[in-house]
Amino acid sequence: MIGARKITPMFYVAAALLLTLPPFLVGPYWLGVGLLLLSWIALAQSWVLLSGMTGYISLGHAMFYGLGGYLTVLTWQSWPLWISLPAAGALAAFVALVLGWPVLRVRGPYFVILTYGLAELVKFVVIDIEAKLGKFGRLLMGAPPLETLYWLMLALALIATLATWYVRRSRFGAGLRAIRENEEAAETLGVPVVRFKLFAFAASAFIPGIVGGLMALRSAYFEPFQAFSPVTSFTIVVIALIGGSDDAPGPILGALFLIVLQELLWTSAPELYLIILGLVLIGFVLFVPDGVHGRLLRGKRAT
Amino acid sequence: MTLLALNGIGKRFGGLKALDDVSFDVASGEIVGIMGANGAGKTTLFSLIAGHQKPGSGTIRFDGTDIAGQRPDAINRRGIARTFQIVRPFRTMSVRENVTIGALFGAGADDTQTAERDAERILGELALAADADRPAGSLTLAGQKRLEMARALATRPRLLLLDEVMAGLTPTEVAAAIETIRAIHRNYNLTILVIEHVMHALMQLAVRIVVLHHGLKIAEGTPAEIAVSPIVQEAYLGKDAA
Amino acid sequence: MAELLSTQLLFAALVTGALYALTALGLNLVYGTMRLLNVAHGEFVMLGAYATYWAFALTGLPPLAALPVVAIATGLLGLAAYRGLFRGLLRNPTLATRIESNSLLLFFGLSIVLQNTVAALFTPTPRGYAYLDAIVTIGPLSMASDRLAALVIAAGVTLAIVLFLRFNLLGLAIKALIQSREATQIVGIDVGRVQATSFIAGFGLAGLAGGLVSMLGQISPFMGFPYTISAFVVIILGGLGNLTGGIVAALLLGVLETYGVALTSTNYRSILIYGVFILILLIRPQGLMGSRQAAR
Repeated sequence: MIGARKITPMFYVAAALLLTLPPFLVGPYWLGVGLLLLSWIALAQSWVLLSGMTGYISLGHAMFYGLGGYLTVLTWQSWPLWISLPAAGALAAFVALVLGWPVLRVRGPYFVILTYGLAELVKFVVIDIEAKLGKFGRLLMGAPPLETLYWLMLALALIATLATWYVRRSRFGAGLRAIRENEEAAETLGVPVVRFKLFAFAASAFIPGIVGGLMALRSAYFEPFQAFSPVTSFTIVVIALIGGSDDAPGPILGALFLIVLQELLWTSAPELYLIILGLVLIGFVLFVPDGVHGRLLRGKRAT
Repeated sequence: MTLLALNGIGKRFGGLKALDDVSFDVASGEIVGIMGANGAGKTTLFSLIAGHQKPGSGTIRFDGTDIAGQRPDAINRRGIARTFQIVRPFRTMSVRENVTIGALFGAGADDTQTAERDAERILGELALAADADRPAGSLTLAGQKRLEMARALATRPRLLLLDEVMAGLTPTEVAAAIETIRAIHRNYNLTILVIEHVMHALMQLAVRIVVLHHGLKIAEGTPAEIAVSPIVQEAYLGKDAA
Repeated sequence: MAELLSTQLLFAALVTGALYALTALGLNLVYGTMRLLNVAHGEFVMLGAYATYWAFALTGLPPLAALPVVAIATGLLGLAAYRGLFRGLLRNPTLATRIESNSLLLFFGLSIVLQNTVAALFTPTPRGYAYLDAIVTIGPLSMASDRLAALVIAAGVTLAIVLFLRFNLLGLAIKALIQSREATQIVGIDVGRVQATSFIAGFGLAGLAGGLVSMLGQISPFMGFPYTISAFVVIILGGLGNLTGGIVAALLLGVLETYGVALTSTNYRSILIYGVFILILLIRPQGLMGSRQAAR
């Protein structure tokens, strides 16, 4: 099989089934931590679909997260959740599709700063719209309970993980990885480069849109600076870099590492959090570019 | 029957005319050589045929249809494959995976099982079986050149464009490459266009040779004719030598 | 409409343009010689701003006097940081193949570290100080003297450096390096030394710009990034290595931004800058690679 690995989908499903238990076992604080962990997993797995597979590193995924949150908040009173959440994802995917056409023609580091710039542009546009509407932050009344949000996020994290697992082993994934290795050669060998890139981009935006919606419900508050914060984009990249961006276990490992780091620092030295994250990014780029998962695999291959 | 027909092909880069009114045909099953000094326009020609660039003027007919301006992947699915002068392996993927990509996406585009079987067979034919599971970046130059050919072959082309596959090879490797090309020509019923600087290889392989100079086609004929052509000699050696 | 045509607005546009020219010149020197996207350039502007602020707040040292020291300090700091990171990248051959994307992540990490270290040390609250508050009136034009000083210094230094680079041997070497690293090495120029000089000059100019900015308004740890963006816009518009082109492009951007904001509102400043940035990147997808293959 193309790139077969030992961890099967059943493992992830089993793990997810186990993880349905915490709402019955732990208090709201740890449940919130669990929700956060699952949200990072869902975000990072989706990001890997595009950036891990094709090498087009997006530093702008906060854009999709924020747009999903915005739509959810706008339709909170009018649409039921089972419509607004998928719609949030669909909006994000649609925006990705539309933007992807011109944006994916830009390669390498220019793509990275372009996505960053785009996310900032969207942020400031939404801020302007909100200001014109006279809104400076929106409060949500009667948001769903934490348990519901947790289970929904669990489902998202599972879907995102299975998606990464599946794509990594599919013909589509092989094409994406060929694009990553050498786009021109891939195209010469018949890989439909434009189509594949667009699809990966849109696919990578869908779940982050829904995650954005769920997290807006979690805080029951929407504020553009927060929702579109580049720190979200940055954190996703760091998670994928730490854990590994080539296969499904990577983002899970990375998200775990991040949550542990957050928990450790939140109480003692919160200002240090971003500084350490930046240093971690630098350190991993220089010394562990494949991430923890990649390192583990290379160790196995060597024996 | 004519497989490839180039008519009045022209291409400019800024002020430079890379190709100027180049026309020739390639019949099914032929091995045609393309010869010319550096900068004569040979690789540009391949770029145009393979779809990496659009011709400024002229038509490129493959099996009767004008393919000028189509994207490289579409052209590949029609049955044209090329190798690159400077090899472009998928470095961190294994040799096997490299070839499998070709099998998965090219004109053959089957399911994964068939693709892997095809890849396996081609690996054997191009003496890559022993290195199949090593990363492509770890091969020797000769190996990487064979990999270029193997990958292109995996896309089940009818027309294969070989761009200076002998460059950088030792005389022994060149002899082996000539044999390999002859073998795949036979076994896969290919039509081949070869750009080569290694003159004796070109003379041995090609049934016809097209000579380009400063973007113009200055001669076309059998290897024997080209070898004694005063026009070609003048282009290569200068007026006084002819 | 009358405000649009006022000389006040033109003056403001010139000041902004001059500052952009200064930062872009610095980026030209750093990015042009290194060929790696230096997304942390704005952070050195920020560092220059803070250094000038603290020099004034703690010791009363007038910013105009502090500027040269600040410039040299940021220049050396930049050299040290980039030498270290760059060397780290080159050490690993796998990293070196995707060096552009990897270096971008590295420099992005550096900017995050710098921003948040300053925020941790000095709080994220914006700060300002009062200096050269007097209004100067020349004919019909009333200008705040701090803005006037900033314009004069920024324009003066930019022109001086551009002329220096044009007529001095070292300047020629730097321009050669920006054009082609290999060719410069072949003609026997010590690329390492020229590169180091470019770095010090480039980051120094950023720090200098930061010092000037600190005179004009409030500073915050996160003020740097817009300067990075505008510097890149200027370079893409003016052409990498084209120093005079950069000056023209910077003035153009200054005018566009100032008049654009005047026509709409201050909210639009960011939308304008990022909008132009994105448009430019899309229209010129090769960005600054020019004829070189846009490899990853």
